[in-house]
Amino acid sequence: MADGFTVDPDSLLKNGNSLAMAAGYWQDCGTSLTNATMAADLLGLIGSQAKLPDMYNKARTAVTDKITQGVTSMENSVKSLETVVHNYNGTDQASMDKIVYAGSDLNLTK
Amino acid sequence: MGLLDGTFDASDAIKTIESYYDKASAWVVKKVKEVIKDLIKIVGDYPRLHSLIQTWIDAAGPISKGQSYIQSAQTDLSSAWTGGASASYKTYLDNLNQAGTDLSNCIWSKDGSGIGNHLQGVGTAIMNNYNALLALTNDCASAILKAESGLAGHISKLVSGIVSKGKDLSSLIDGASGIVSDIDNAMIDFANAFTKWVNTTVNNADTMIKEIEAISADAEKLVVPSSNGY
Repeated sequence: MADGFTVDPDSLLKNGNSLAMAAGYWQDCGTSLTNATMAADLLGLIGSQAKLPDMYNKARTAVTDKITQGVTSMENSVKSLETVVHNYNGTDQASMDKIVYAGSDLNLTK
Repeated sequence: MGLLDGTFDASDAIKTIESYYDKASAWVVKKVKEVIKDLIKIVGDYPRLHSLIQTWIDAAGPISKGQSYIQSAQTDLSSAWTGGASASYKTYLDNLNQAGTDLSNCIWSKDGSGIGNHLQGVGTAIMNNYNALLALTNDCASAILKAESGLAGHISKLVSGIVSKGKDLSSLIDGASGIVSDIDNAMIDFANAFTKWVNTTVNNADTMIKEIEAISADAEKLVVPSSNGY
C-alpha cells in the first residue's frame, strides 16, 4: 500500500466503469453526428451563395472532433485508473479486465 | 382588303386577335411558372433540413445519459480514492462534467441556443420563404386573372370596333389603349409582387446567415479536458 493516499480498488474500478460508460455514450453521439453533414444545395441558392453549408459542415466537424477528444480522454483516464489500482495493491490482471470489459464496445485497449 | 373600303373581313381579324391574345396569355403563364420554379431553388429544402435537425436532437440523448455516469463517478470518488493524485482526477471529472454539460447544450438546448435549435431557426426562415413564394404565386395568379379579365373586356371593345368596320373609331382606340393599360398594370402588379417577395426573402436570408454563424461560434467554444494520467 502506498503512503499518503487510500484506494478502494473495487470502488475505483467501478468509477472507471462509469467513465467507460460515459465514453461509450459520447461515442454513440459522435457516431450519430458523423453523417449529419449538409449538402451544398440544402439551403438553396441563398445558402450556397453565402457558403452556409460549408460553415455548418466545419462547425459539425469541430463538434465531432471534440467528442472524439472527449472519448480518447476518458479512455486514457480509465487506463490511468487501472494503473492507480495496480500500483496501489498489485491488483491482478483479472481485476483490470473488469474495466476493459465494461469499455469493450469502445475498443479500449490496455 | 381594307378597313375603310368595306372589303375588310372582320372574322379573320377577330381570329387573329384572339390567337395573339391566347398566345400572349399562355406566354405570361408559362414565364411566371418558370420563374417560380427557379425561385424554389433559391428557397432551400425544408424536408431534408428537418431530418438533419432531428439527428441533432437525437444526438443529445446519449450525452445526457453519459452525464449521469460522469456525475456518478464524481459522487463516488471520495469513497474510492483519497489523497495523492485523486485531487487531479477530481478536477478532471469536474471539468469533464462541465464539458458534457456544454456539449449537451451545444447540440440541443432547452433555452434554444444549441445547434439543433439554430437549425430550427434556419428551417423557420426557409418555411417563411416558402410561404412568401406561395404568396408570390398567388399574387402573380391574381395579376394574370386581373389582366386576362381586363384584356378580354378591352379586346371585346376592339373587336366590336373592327366588326363595325372602323366606323366606331373611338371604340377601337379605347380597346387598343385599354389593352396597353392592362398589360402595364399587370407588369406593375408583377413587379410589386416580386419586390415584396425579394424583401421577405432577403430578411429570411439574413436570419439563415445569423443562425449558421451562431452554430459556428457554438462549436468553436467547446472545450474538452485532457487526461494527463494520475
